[in-house]
Amino acid sequence: MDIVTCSEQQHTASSDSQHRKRKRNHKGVDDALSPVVIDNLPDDVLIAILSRMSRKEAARTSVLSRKWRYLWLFTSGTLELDDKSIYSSGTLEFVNYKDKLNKIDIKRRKFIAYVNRILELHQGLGLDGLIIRFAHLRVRSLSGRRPSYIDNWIYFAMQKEVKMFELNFSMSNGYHPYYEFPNVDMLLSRSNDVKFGFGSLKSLRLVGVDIKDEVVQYFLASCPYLEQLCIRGSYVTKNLKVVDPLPNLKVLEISDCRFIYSLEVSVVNLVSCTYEGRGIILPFKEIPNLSELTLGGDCAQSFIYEPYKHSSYSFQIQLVKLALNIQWERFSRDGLNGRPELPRLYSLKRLELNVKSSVGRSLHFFTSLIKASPLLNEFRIKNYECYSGSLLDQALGSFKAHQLSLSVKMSGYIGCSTDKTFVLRLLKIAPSLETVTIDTESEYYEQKPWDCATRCKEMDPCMCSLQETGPRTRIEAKKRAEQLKTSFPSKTMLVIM
Amino acid sequence: MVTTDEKGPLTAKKKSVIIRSCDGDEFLVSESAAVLSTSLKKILEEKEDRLIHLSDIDNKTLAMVIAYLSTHADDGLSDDLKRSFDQEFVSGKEFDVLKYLVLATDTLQVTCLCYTVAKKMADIMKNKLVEWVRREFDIQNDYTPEAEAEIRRLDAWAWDDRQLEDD
Repeated sequence: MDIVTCSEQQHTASSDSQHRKRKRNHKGVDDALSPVVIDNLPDDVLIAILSRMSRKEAARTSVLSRKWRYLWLFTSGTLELDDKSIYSSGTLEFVNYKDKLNKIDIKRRKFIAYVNRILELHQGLGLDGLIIRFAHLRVRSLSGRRPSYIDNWIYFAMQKEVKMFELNFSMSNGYHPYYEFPNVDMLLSRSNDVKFGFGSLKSLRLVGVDIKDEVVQYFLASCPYLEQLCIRGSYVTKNLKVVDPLPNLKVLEISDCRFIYSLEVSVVNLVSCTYEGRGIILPFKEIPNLSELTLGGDCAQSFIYEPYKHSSYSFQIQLVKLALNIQWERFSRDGLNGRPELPRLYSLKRLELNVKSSVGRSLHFFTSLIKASPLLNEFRIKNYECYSGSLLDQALGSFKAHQLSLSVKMSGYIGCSTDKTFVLRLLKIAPSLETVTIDTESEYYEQKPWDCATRCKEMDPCMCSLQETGPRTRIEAKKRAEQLKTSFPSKTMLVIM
Repeated sequence: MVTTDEKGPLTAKKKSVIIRSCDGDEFLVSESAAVLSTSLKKILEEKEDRLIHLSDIDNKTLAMVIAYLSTHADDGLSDDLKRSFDQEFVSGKEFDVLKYLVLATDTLQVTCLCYTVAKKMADIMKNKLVEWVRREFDIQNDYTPEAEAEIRRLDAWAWDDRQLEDD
């Protein structure tokens, strides 16, 4: 197709009216062009159409005709293969546990065959990214042999010189798969002329994949364009150093590495950092540009209870967003007493708390965080369990002290009487609140603790039998939240989700 | 009257170009709308042409593309309004019309419209029986029955789960 420009007939615009039609001659007829059948469309247009379908739908077009056989494989720059697609198709019914294992095993082999086949068809085609999520990978085989098919997938990604690579073996049953990322010698020993093909990598995410420290170091040293690195759930990670020169690294996550002993981070351009897990001494050195920090596990606890251990970096950095993922059960009550003041977080604007706590535990600890953050204007708290008035009452004192014009978002609101008390107290203490968002989404309705409570009463009383019964549906919770509206002052907005 | 040799950000906004379809009809388009097409932008950068002839886009299609470009070049419209315009733009259009449109967007390199139209075409094709697609879009099946069965077997994962429609 050509676009012809007619310079000999140059016109200048003489009217402001846009796309005004001017008939110049009368030979123009609407059907002047030969009819386009879909096969006449250029391949890139067909690929554009196929790209807008799901992978399954696009794959089905391969039987239309020979022309369509491989078209769908060109659809996206990034190949995303997820075993969820195999499991979601058809319900998995089984008569007993053995039968269940058998059926899962069949699906597992089906997924491996599927990945192998797609990768085989992609030989010879360009590829920007490869994502493989395999939640039903078999945990450590009895023979102790490496699953060579996964090695092949990694090798494939290397051959393709992908920019984005993700292996996610985060297991659906919570087990650790014990798959170890091949070492560099192994990657390079396939044939004589192999070179390390991850040189253009921008993003590397490994979840549930064991990767040895020296392999990570090799990647860091050999991938100058790396912008994102995530290592989550690697059990062989021990002493990790993420230090400059890493001119492009902006996002770093090192989480759930159970046996990590030390971590050193010193990256001038780093913007966002997540560390969850063991309470090792956090090791930030040069991170002048860090603005988002997420801490979880023992480390989050340490941030609150032993702030002096973290002051070396929390003083310096221009932190705008801080998120803490906390499992409250693991917090010791003793830590509350004689706790030193937190260093001031002068630039902090947004604080997020994701708390897993059982009823009756105090959330008092985070008042110190609010006190330490004079510029805070957004505060989100997500509680996975029922809110309890007593926990949040104490926390609210800090709002009063600040008179903040905060936006508050509460997630996991189910409308217990304690929830209601909390909101009413919130309004009393902090009348200048701009918005209160109440999100009623909660696992609570599915967990049906009221069933458990009835059962438990007959045996030993447990936590759940002490718990007040909340509404049994989300709609009911919304209705309860709706009733709060009358208590709200006109300038505070209530948003219910 | 705006002359072509005036330059600068103020006058550039008001400048217009004339685009001629293959039927010979001419459309007056503001330059800010025209440059949303990568091809037209390139032409306008290279030459001072004010008349651009498109040898394979017909009246009907060109009018639609220009309506789209002008709407998207209008700074007074919010993104939400533009999005709902996009939805309305493709809704109810016949597959045939969409084919010419997608060809035109491919020629003119109007990426966002190409996405919108391709999405609509994909929506029409998905969840349909292979036979329906072949019939509707005039695709000649050049496989042998054995070859077709083999492909279905190889990609069995794509076929296992849903009821396909034939209307």
